[in-house]
Amino acid sequence: MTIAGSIYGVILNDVRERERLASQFGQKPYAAPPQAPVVYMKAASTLTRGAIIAPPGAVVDAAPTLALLFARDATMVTAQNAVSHIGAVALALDISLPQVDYYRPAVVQKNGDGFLPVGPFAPVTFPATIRLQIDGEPEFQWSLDRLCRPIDQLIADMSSFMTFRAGDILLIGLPGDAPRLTAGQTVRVMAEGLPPLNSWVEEAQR
Amino acid sequence: MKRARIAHRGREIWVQVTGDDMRLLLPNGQEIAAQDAHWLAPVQPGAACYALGLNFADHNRELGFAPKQEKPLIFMKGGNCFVGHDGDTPRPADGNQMHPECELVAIIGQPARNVTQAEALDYVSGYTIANDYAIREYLENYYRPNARVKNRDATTPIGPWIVDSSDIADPQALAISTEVNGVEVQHGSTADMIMTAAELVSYLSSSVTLMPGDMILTGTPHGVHFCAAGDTVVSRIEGIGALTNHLVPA
Repeated sequence: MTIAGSIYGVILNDVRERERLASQFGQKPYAAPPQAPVVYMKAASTLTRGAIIAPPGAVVDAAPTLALLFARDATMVTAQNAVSHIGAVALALDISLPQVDYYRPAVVQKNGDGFLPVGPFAPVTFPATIRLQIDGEPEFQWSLDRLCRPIDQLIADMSSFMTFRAGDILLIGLPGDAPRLTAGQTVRVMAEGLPPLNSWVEEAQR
Repeated sequence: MKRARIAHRGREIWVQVTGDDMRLLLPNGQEIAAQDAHWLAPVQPGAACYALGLNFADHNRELGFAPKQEKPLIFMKGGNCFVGHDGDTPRPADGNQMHPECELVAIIGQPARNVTQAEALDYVSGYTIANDYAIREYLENYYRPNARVKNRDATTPIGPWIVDSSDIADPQALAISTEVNGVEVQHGSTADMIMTAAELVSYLSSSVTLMPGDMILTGTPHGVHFCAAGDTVVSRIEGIGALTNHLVPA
């Protein structure tokens, strides 16, 4: 079993980010708070075990998260049996060029080369906290109790309108206060029970 | 040449469409009648799918948007969306504003990164037809058009086959239309696209590496027509063919 399908992620699944943006949700262009999970996708060409390739001079958002690999198709599953459809878990780093707002999909921002470093997959485990080092120094950590929709509820809610297929990936949410990286920096993502993820940022050759 | 993907004797295979679209040539040299085929979406597993919203000025006016967006509106679609020719698409009981969208699909043939508009079509290996249904009741203003509208199971019929790009002289001069139960509800021309296929390949490749098998759904012309379960929807593009889909209750 390996990554053999589509790569999905969700934004606005961080309680703190939602609280910070709450006053904007009632205004244009949103008009109302989000109801369904807010889903994005990443192309297979973003996957890397090596370098993140940043446009010259760019600063990128680097959001540590978990990548769940589906082992069985999941359609309209309940929260109670959602996790039984997952076959493996890895640390991942969702790279994105900064976004102004969340109104339109951020396809070009999120799909640069190497914009999805993923670590080795391990048997299913959900760590409480994900930590991130930049150039060897502790820089950031977030606790997964910040997820608005915990993993089981997220799978259930998304599978109510779409099938996760065996081989698909789900990135479970991004911290709204993720650190930023520039070319030349190295990054390491760690969590209990999962192999660490190492990557670095290179500037794209013109 | 036209290539289709079918289920045959327990396998998924690619076949060549011959004999005025009546015959299918299997990889082992056998032939079968096209009417006996179980059509599958001619989509490579794991391929990325980029789809355009609001890429025809007449459609944008119809929906109350500016004729030309500041930046192209692009979203992505997962493998669960696709369904082959003559397949079924679920029409939810509360999806009273579900409408078909006939679109020209460009399929990438070689890695494309930072390609110019002038060379962009050299990176397109073929074209097919997609019907990218939308259900307007499910729209939300976050990453709009959001996944609950555009990433539903089997809501993007695609096919029946891929036509080699060498057989399409000008992808920007093709009649494009939709019929619902035999009545035409959409009629336009790819000449009216705001960004052409070549411009879209070039634009995307300035940020993203497009890979062989990746698809670009290039947007739909005006003609919003709400459909019901039981409707038969035919999406047609000149020089490619006709893609049939059946709406079933869900």
